[in-house]
Amino acid sequence: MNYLLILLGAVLVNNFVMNQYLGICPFLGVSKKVETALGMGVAVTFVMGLASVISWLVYTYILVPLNITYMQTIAFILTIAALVQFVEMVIQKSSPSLYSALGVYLPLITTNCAVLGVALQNITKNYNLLESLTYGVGGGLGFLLVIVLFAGIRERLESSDIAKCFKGFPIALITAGLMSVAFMGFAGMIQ
Amino acid sequence: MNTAIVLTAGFTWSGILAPTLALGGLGLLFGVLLAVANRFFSVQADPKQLKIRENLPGANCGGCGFPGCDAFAKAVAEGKAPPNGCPVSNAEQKAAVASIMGVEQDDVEPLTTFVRCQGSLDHTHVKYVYEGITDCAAAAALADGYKACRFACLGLGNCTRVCPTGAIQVVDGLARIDQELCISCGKCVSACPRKIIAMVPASSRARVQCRATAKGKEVREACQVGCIGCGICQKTCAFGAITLVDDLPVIDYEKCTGCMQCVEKCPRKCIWGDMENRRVAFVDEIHCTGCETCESACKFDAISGEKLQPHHVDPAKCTGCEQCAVACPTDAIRMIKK
Repeated sequence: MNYLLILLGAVLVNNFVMNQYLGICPFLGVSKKVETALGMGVAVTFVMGLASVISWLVYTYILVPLNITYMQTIAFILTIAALVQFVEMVIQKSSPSLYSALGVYLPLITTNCAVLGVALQNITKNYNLLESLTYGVGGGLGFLLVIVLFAGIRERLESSDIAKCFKGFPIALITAGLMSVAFMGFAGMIQ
Repeated sequence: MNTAIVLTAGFTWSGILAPTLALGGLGLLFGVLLAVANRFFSVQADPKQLKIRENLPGANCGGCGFPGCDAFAKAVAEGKAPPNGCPVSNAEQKAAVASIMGVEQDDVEPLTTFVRCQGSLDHTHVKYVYEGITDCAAAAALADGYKACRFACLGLGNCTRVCPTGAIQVVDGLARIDQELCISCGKCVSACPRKIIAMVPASSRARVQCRATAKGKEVREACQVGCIGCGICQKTCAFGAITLVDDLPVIDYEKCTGCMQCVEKCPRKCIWGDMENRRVAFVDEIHCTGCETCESACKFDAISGEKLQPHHVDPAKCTGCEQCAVACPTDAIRMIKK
């Protein structure tokens, strides 16, 4: 039950994009088409899940015994950068079309603060390994959910009659704000 | 936060060594793992593509129309983009890319910009005095522009403003390009709301200088040098290189020989011709065998002569189309400056 709560909490209540405002760059950058948004969401989910596990292991078995937990940010960034490189290789090999669609945003997962955020929060929340994995995957699924929803809205915005001064990013930002307000409605549901 | 600051306990060597070794070791471990993964997941990139990429400026400016140099290199390697498609590369880099693709630099037809309008203020007249913002698109939106011809260059300098080399000047309400300064980047082509400026092969010798697709009467009233779609150029062209599309001649540069007959016959003088480089055929009597091949190749009756005797070109009739020189089996015909 605890795991389910963590999962739902990460997806809806403490959604990384909508409630914590982390990972906005790929959220706005790769949300023009549902298909690429889906690819990005899956890639981020994968990286977040894996990053929370490995960063938890690095923290617990390397940083804590050596008393160098103050190095956690650097250690986590190192871990995430290596992971993203790995994911990039896998995607390039398995799906060249997704690779070219994600383009420059794929290496940018490295600097996606949602990924670093989940690694750091696992530590501050004192989660164990499985809880960390759940929180990471939940955070990724939350990202996947909102980016796909957002891409769906943006696809429709493309073909709708919008005042010229709002076309493109302005209306996208307004939409993101409204979505965030909607997600605020989940606040207090769990925890 | 449960981050313990150990350093406050005072300076110890292990306080420095532990994090250095731990993070260094972590980095090394990840590095080795990635190197191993690279073996399993490496994608064989087209070696051509990599070579091409090395010869690009790497500015990722997008000037070629592709998202970054990598994408452009890929497109060139796949034959989807011309080897000289990078507007930023210098001649050396373009030549290198061309040689990687197995074409000579000369094979790549260089393009140049060309203003397809002669509607300066002394050729067309003004309908009203435009006092709006200095922008061609805005002016074009106001009752089809202030000039009598609704296709004409509005001369408010959208092209001038985007030109990176300052090659475009508006004189008498018409954009004029200084070919010495033009680098053929194509920015003006997309900046012009009326599509007046076009990229044409630099070697093309006849170019249509009008965009008016309207009926003859309307054009005649609006401009002294507008194309009225009479089709005389089409009938004149001995090589079938001109077809009328929407009452405007379109020149097929595969077929055009540069004989300039269309330029000369156009009643409205709206076809530009490269008259400065016009040439005339000259028969070298030593090599001429009198085979009469040139005589039958000439569409303008400019070559005459007895069989097996050296032939002669009548410079007054010769148009410089070079068909005789191409046909001559003994290379006895040279094109000389008129």
